[in-house]
Amino acid sequence: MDYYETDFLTPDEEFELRYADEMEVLHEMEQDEPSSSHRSTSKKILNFDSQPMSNGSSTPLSNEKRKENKDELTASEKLSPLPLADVDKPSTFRSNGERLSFSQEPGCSYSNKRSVDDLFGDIDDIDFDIDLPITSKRARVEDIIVQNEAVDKDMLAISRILEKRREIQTAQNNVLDVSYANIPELSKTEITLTRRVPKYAFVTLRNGKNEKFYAKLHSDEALNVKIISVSEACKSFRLLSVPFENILSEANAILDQKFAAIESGAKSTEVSSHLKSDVTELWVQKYKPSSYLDLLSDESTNRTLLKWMKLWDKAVFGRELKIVSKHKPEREESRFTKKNFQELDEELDDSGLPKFKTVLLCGPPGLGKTTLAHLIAQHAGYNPVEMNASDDRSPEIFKQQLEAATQMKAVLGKNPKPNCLIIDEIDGAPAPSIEVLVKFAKGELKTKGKKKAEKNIGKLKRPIICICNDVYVPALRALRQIAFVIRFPPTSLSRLASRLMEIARAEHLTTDSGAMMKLCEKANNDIRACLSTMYCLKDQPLRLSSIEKVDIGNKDMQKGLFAVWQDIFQLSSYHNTMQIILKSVQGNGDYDRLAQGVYENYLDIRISDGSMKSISKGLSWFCFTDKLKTHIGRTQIYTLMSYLPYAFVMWGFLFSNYQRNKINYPSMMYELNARRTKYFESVQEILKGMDPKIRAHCHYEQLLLDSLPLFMFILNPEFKAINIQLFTNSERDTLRQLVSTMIDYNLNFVQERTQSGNYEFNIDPNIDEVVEFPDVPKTKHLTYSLKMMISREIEQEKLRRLEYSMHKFHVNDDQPSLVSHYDELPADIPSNFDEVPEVLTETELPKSQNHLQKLTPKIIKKSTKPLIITNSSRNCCIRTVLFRNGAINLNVIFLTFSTPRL
Amino acid sequence: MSLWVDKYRPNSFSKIDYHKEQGQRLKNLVQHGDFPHLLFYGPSGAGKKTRIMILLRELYGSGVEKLRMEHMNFQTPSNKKIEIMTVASNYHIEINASDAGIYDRIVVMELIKNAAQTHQLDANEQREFKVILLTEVDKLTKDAQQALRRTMEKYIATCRLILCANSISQVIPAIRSRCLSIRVPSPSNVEIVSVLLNICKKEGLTIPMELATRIAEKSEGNLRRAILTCEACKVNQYPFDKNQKIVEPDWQNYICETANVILKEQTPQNLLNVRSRLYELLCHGIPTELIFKYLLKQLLTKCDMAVKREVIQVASDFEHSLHRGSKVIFHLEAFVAKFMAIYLQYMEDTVRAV
Repeated sequence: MDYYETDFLTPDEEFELRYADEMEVLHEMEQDEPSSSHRSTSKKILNFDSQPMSNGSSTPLSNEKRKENKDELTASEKLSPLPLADVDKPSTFRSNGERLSFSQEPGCSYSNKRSVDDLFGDIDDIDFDIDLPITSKRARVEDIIVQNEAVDKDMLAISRILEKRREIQTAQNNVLDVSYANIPELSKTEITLTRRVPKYAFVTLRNGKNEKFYAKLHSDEALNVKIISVSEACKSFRLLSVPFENILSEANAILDQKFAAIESGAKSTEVSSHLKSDVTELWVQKYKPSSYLDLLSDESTNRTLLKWMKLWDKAVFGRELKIVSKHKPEREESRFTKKNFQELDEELDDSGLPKFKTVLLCGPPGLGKTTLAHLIAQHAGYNPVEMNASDDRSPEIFKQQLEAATQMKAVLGKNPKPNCLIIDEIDGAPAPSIEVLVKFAKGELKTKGKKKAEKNIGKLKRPIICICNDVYVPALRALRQIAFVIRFPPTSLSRLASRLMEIARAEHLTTDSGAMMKLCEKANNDIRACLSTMYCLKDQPLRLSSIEKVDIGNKDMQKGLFAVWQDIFQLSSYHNTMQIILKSVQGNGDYDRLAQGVYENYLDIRISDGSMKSISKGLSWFCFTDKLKTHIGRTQIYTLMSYLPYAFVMWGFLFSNYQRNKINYPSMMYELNARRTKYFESVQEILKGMDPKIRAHCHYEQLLLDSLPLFMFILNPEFKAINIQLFTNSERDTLRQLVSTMIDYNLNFVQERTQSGNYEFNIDPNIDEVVEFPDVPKTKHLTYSLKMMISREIEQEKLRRLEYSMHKFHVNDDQPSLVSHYDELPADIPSNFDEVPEVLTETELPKSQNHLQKLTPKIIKKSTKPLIITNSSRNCCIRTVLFRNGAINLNVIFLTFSTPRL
Repeated sequence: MSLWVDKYRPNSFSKIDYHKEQGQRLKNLVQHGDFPHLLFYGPSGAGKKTRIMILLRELYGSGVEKLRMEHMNFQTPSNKKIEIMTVASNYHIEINASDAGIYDRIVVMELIKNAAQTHQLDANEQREFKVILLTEVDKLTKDAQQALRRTMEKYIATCRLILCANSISQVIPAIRSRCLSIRVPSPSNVEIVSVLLNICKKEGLTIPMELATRIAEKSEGNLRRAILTCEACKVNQYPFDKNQKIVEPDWQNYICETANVILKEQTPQNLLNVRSRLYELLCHGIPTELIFKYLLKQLLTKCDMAVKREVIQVASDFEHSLHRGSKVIFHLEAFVAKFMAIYLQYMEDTVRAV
């Protein structure tokens, strides 16, 4: 400081400041003044952290500042001896203070002082008595300026500055005049500009009247010192048009207003604040919503997700949940007829975690899913950690990431927040990775320790938000079941349009809301696409016509099937029906299903066609599409595909009307195929079980067309419902024939339970339904008891045939018969039918009365001539017999086996 | 073997009831123990299969009647497994390759190679070739038929092919030229009547001549159906009455009823009604050519001569387009709608003329 003062105070050492340098300083002062005042009033949020020079100021200045701050503490009431200090105060104060402390803490000046202390170190050594010299010094600087400006023009500027300053000072109601009074005094002490040629170094100047002046020339370093001092003085000399208290109160008021605005939900202020951001930034990035209230997406969706996030509060932050009264949501539900997501289960499980560990956000691109997830996570006090398709998502790495994100948290930073994992574009992740996630969410994931000991990672304790476009990707199936699925409804057109209007206003685009609506419609409510198109068209006024005309930003819209059908069947008021239909049909692309839908619905829609001509014409177009498609399929000439949509145009012309039609999803083809397969299977079943001799002459089509329909008659002869024993010969004959036929064709009656709980015998395989048609008078069927009887007869006959073949086998084998009582069976099976009842009576009726009969062990006839199993082939034969004859002959055979041992 | 159809099936050339001259020629053909590839064709129920079986019996003796059913598995290049049911004896194998749908080519190739590459075990006692009986050749895809033509020649030393088809129009000329074609025409009504009388005599029944004639007429040259109808009639009512009702298959009645529905009212509403009936027919697996045939037959009864020509032309057009397309219901309904339009026009014209 000494150096400074001595350097400054000795006038005869150096020449005074040069003209140009002086002007520079003046400019600086002039510019500084209005801009600072502008900033303090117009800006809501102002970042002063990057203010230049404030930290790099030289010692005198810092001292000064410190002193000034110190002064402020005491001199807020009594008038400070330093008039300029007051002025300086706000800027220095703000440069260090934070916004929040500014508004909240009453002792702001104290805290500020401390921060200043932190900045500049100990201030005890500062002498407060230097106040006066400093002010006088500053005054002297100005004095020099005044003296230097001998030129009229320059003088004018100086006088203006002085005037301004005076104004400020008077306005401040300060005692600046004390120091100001020094100026004339000082001006006498130093002469830097003379008319005569001076002794010291000088430069010659001329004014307008060609008068010569000689200005003192300073040495370079002295000049530099002076420039710095002046400029710094100017820095600290930041002039405010209003006192600091006023600004503070004003700022507080603005802040209050802003909070109030946020609470009331007004969002428009946000947009304006974006104005300052970098021009080169993409608009999508630039106007990204920065708070929950800025979100454009559907309000109920946002709230559901937020609600879910809040469910984690207990587990993550230890806060108790507020149980929302159940009444309110119910009322809301009733307003929405169609819900986009399942009801959120607000119950927590035993460990205080929400029931759904993950949320699956799904919806088409451009609705703001990712933005929503990030914002909600931030809003709920989490630190969002994102994983997306650009990351490696092999199961191993995925697992690592999962663990890292959910079980660790940042230790650096002032206020470490818990993480919230956001897995973006999960539909592209490999299935094993998703399995890992599912297991993790269920708490089943285990890590293999080094010593084979499996350690359970434990439960998932952080929320995970998954985002996908297509929720029905097979890989997501498992996740879908455990996650809380939120379907993203499309953004409402009006909200999007109004936001676009705001942006347009902020970007100074001329447009109207109609154009914006059109833009939204064109982009199919894709926010990103809208902004890109707007960006592209920003140099011209955006009008409805220009948006319609422009061929960019046309999103390739894929309409749903029903929307396309509606387009076809509902005659729109637009003139160009053909274009509309073509576009929507081509947009969908599923011509096959679309055609089927038109086919199955057109008759319900078009009622009045007296001559049937247009229907006939429309149908010939169906034939055309079918032929064309088959041809494409056969020859693989796919260029012909482009002709397919034109049929839809034709149908549109032929079948459409002005009403809104109810359209059903085409399902006839599916039902047809299902039934056809069923009937086909039935006939195949018959073919499989048929007698090969008959099968050789029988084929599917013959069976279906000739044999089976007539079976309906042949298999339903008239019988009296009496015991089989009482049948006459001819009836027995008929029965025999029936049973034989049914066996030949693999038919039988089986008992089935009907829906009403009754039992009935149905033919199996069910040829009845294969051959019967509705509306055709049905043939009468056999009664229940008769069917039962026939069924029993069929079983018996089958057994008999089997045993007969067995018998024949033994006879051929020339072996002692093991099943002796079948010996009397005649060789020819078909003719033995009548004798069977006798056989049965013979075997079943005992000789004596039942109660008198004694059970005697069966005598082994062949004991004297035991069966010796000599070779393996015979053994094999006997085993086969045993197997086929079943339990009846089991004893006998066992005995036979045991005899050789005896 | 209790149905009359199966019971009274002739098993030698001497027992056949009609086409006796042709039977004699066939007998002569196999007398020398060898024959070229054969292609039997003719309408359904004419007796193709009966003749083929008799032929095989003549060739190999009664051993050919010991039939068994076998399932053969094939694998397509795309690793799809197909199972085909075959009926086989020791001497021959019968297969319906069209069961495999579009994969019939693989079946034909595999089967013939398998069968042809193994020689008969005891060539002295038996013939030195096996017989492969391919049924429904006309339903084979063109690919399968192309695959057949070379293998037929290549393996002629070890196997003979007997092909069986309803019509040779769908059989490629290359195959037709490699085979001896034998047409088995359907029996005349007189022949059918005599067969029916014969059977009834053997069963010990008396059938009035009138009834037999009516059954023969109804059966449209299909002997199988004639015999089955006769049996059904017997079950329905015996003793026979010459005016008794002759049973008909349900599907046939249904198609006729559908035609009546069409004739009754020509409105879009009714077209919807007809559509559901057509769906019903299709899902029961009734072939479209039969639907067209009976529908047209019934519709023409109510048409004037001038309209008849037009209707027939339209029907043939749509049947043709049906075969070139794949969704049959479109073409059937288009035919019905077109008929309705023509019929309405015709009615209008007649009213105006009056």
